Amino acid sequence: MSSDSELIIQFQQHINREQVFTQLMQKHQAKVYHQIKRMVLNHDDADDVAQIVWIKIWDKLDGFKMESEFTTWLFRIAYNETLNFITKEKRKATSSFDQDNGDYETHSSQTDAPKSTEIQIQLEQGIKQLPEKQRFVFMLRYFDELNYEKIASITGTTVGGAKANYHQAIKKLEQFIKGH
Amino acid sequence: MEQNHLHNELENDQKLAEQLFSKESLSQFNEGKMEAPHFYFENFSARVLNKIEKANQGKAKIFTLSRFSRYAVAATLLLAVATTFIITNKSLQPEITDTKVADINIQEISNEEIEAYVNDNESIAEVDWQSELSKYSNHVDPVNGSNDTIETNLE
Repeated sequence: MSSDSELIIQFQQHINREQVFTQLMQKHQAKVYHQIKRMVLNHDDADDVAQIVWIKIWDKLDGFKMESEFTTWLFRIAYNETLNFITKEKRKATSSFDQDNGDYETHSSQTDAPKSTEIQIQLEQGIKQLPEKQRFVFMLRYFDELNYEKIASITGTTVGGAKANYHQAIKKLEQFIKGH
Repeated sequence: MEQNHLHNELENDQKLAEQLFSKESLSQFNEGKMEAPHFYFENFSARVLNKIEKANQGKAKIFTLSRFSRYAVAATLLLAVATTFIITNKSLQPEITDTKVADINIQEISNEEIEAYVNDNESIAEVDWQSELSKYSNHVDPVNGSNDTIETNLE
């Protein structure tokens, strides 16, 4: 299988664009989907956001100068689109709050996760109450085992900022457990 | 050395989370989020490409030009603008020159020339005047058919 940069060069030179883009998608689609799903928590939303991300990649790939790794750029777009989605959902939830007395938490708790143990539920709720950026950094660091440099590039912050986000997330999780 | 440091740093960070939740529950949480419906990834790329195609149908087609073609297009446009400018300018030019020539001529005409012009035109006017009178006399005195009567009366 060709490397990312080879595929990107072919795409930029208009050589079998669709075929080349399909290869790029097949290589990275699962990681992108999982990164999004861990944040939005259900499949339908993750699918919507993932599609938006790949359409954006198609539109912008001609201008990609390969100054950073393709995956860093890809995950950064995925990160931004996920945050956009969450912000929109929050706005929707706020506007519907007055109408049906619901809230974002009850809406977003309709995840498609299997029935879980108590500790599992606590973990899920604990992670869900983290601010988006801290939640994202926590996922990338703990589950994807990315170094802070890459996390900083994806989330558009400094290495120090990314480290601080991780440790603040841990602190908030600790406080959440103590409170329950 | 640096690799070791980075690895240790990662392990320490992971331990912080594992002190709060068990390693098992954390990995279970992650696995739950990794699940996707069957065959979801098999047709994902086709669906995305289909959407891209539909979106592009509504957009104007963008052509990319080689460097030579870009210069050729720029030169053609420049030529068209220059030609239009020259043609427009030429069609306006005669009016402006005429006015200038007329101004200069009036100023430069001597009194003698003006008098001569007036005299010449007077005789032309005289001729016209005579012909008008003869027409008029024919109309007024159709019985005797003579012009002399009217000419005498007028004098």
